[in-house]
Amino acid sequence: MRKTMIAALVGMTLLAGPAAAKTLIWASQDDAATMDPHAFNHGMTLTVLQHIYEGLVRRDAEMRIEPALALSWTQPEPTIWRFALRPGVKFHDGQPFTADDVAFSFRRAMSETSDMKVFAASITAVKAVDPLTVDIVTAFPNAALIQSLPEIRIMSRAWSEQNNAQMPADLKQSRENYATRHANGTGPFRLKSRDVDVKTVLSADPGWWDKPRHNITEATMVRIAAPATRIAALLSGEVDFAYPVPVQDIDRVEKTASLKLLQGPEIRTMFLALDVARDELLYSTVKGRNPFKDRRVRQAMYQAIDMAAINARIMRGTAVPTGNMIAPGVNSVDPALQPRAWPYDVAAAKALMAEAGYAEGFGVTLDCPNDRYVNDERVCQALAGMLARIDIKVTLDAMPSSRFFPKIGSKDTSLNFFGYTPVNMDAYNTLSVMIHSQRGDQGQWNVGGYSNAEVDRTIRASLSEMDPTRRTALVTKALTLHREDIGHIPLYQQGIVWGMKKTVATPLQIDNRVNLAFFKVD
Amino acid sequence: MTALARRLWDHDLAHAFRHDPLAILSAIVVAAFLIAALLAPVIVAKDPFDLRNLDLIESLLPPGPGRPLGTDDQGRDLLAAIVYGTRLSLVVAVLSVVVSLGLGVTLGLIAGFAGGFLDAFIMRAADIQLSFPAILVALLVDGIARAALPGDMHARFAVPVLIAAIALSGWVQYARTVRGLTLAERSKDYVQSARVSGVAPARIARAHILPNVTGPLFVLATVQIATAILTEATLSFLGVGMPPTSPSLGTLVNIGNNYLFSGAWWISVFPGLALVMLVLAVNLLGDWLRDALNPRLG
Repeated sequence: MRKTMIAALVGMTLLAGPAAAKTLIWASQDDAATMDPHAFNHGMTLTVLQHIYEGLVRRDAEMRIEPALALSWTQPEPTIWRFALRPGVKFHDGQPFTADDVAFSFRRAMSETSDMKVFAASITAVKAVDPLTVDIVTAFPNAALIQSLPEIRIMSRAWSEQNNAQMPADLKQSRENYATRHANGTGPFRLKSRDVDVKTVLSADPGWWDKPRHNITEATMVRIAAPATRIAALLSGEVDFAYPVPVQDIDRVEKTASLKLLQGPEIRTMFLALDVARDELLYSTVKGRNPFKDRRVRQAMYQAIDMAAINARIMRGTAVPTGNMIAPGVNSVDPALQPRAWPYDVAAAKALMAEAGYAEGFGVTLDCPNDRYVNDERVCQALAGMLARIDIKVTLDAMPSSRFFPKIGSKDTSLNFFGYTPVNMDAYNTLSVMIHSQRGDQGQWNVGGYSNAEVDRTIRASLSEMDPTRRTALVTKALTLHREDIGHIPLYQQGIVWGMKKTVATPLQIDNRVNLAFFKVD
Repeated sequence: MTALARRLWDHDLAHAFRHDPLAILSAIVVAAFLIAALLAPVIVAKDPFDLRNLDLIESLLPPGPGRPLGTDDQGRDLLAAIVYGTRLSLVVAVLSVVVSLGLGVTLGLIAGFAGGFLDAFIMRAADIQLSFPAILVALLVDGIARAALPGDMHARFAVPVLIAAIALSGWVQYARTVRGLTLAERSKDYVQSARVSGVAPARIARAHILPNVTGPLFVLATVQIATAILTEATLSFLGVGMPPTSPSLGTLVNIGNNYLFSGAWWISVFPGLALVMLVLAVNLLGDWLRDALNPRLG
């Protein structure tokens, strides 16, 4: 009996030997908010879900589009895109992937409660021609369509219907359904287990259609919100990868022999969003009026902010100060818009406040996430201090992003600090989501209610403009009008800092999305 | 006047105090902290809680001329921040002890004097609460207050919420002590005679029993102030106490915690040391008081 057991053990060891399991533990600042790929256009959520769910096309490590669930595509007419689907693909639950799932997923991503509608802008219909062919019909010829398709992720129609998750649960209303906590995609990793805000375990799917570039068998994402704790975990070797590395700890990680850093600018733009729509400001000492409706007050705030000091002292030079809502490098964005529109000048700011009738200042609450962006709470504190100098008495309400996004998403805010990354690398994304008036599928995160009819018209015109030069001109016009209006106060593009053991190899992604499919672990 | 001074000087307690150097030392430390807290606006040139006084360019500077303890991440002078933080910590600690003392004494008197169902009910509630660590109870109260207060209110009501949270986590000690003492006093002749002569129970409890149980309460309250300071610091360290725009000692330690790896040790260390000195001194004073008031010792 004992001999057979030993023999069995030896046999098992031999079997396991050559294909040694490579596990990876990565620590992040915040957690995915949902497992539903259509419910929330949010960096960390999309980062986790890109491992489980795939689109018709995907981006390679250099952000170039390449085929994924679609093998190839043609354009039989300017407004019709025909996709030949990859045969033999199976969802993680074993069901085959077909054109029906594609049509279902697009309908789902374009539904009322979806937060991903911006990526399906211009699409009017998605039709299954046969089980392996799909037609996407657009209202007008849309040059940027393909760029957006990686973000429309394909779910199983049968699985969604069985589990009563045909529609995304509206996160802004704190709703949930089966797909909020369970996942069934076609991607390189399956969702093995999930403990919200603690850890999420992904295991490599042995039946994935593509030959994996990574060599990970199981990856555990642990959420460590406190920067010092996260970096302590990296330094002690408890985790293999951690991001973001707090800027004050860059030197320390660089000096540690077993660790290395990857650094670069991110395409995320951070800004202040102000309530410019309500007649009376919420959470403020001003009654019956809304000082943010006065452009002079907005300009005073703009000129009171010393971005150079924030970059030097809080970001240690890793951020790129900006006067624009979209980072340079994003499609159709003119880098000439990058410098700030008005200089830092407290005296001028005070004069503007007095001119607007607020010489005595007023009180307002600044909503700020404390676990989402690089040094977010510190930046908010510094902003509060700078605004205090022009007598805007800021009450800082710093909160975890699990509370922050539903709060500002439901417009329960007067002033808030957040940031946006156009993940499809196209200007229309930010223009539509942040700047266009909030109506229909536009302006989903225009939480301050900025609205300018001419800006709206220009944004819509830019979507159907096929000529790159004319399109850039339209985007520049919209951005310039918004800049003159001070619809938001743009602050900076934050830097990406990833820290990892020297045994881990990955390219740095400028959208700050960690993609395990590109990881090699020794 | 001189007669009163003479009586105070000859009092047993004063006599014991004069002969205990440790007690004198701790009294001096506590007095120093109290004076600094009371005179904070006089001692410190710039109010560190006024955001207008902060200059980001002066942030994270090590101790040096003009800033003996360095500056924090927002450019606050740490010495000023510690003085104001101590003031906040002491206010929260003292007020929360007063509230929990009032709550605990009332409930203890009722339980001990009334007996029966009321006694059982209050004491079982106390037992249940004692099975949770005090910090957990405080976190719970704080969490409920946060959920109940709308968005911008909890930053404004941080101090009252903290006081309530700490007070509600500390009343059990007083209630138990008072109940035990009340049970012992209740059967004594003076209480019996008061009862026979028709004095109302509430008056007996207040006028006859309460004055005879204050000694141990005084000791307990002193020690509890140290505990309350620590609870406040812990809550603030965990980020649920005082907001970073008006930091208490615990908040400062929390802020500094993020810079320990990068070498800015002073943000955590100095407020931490201040906290240790304050709590130790209050504890030593409480210990001495307990020994001095204990009839069974010396």
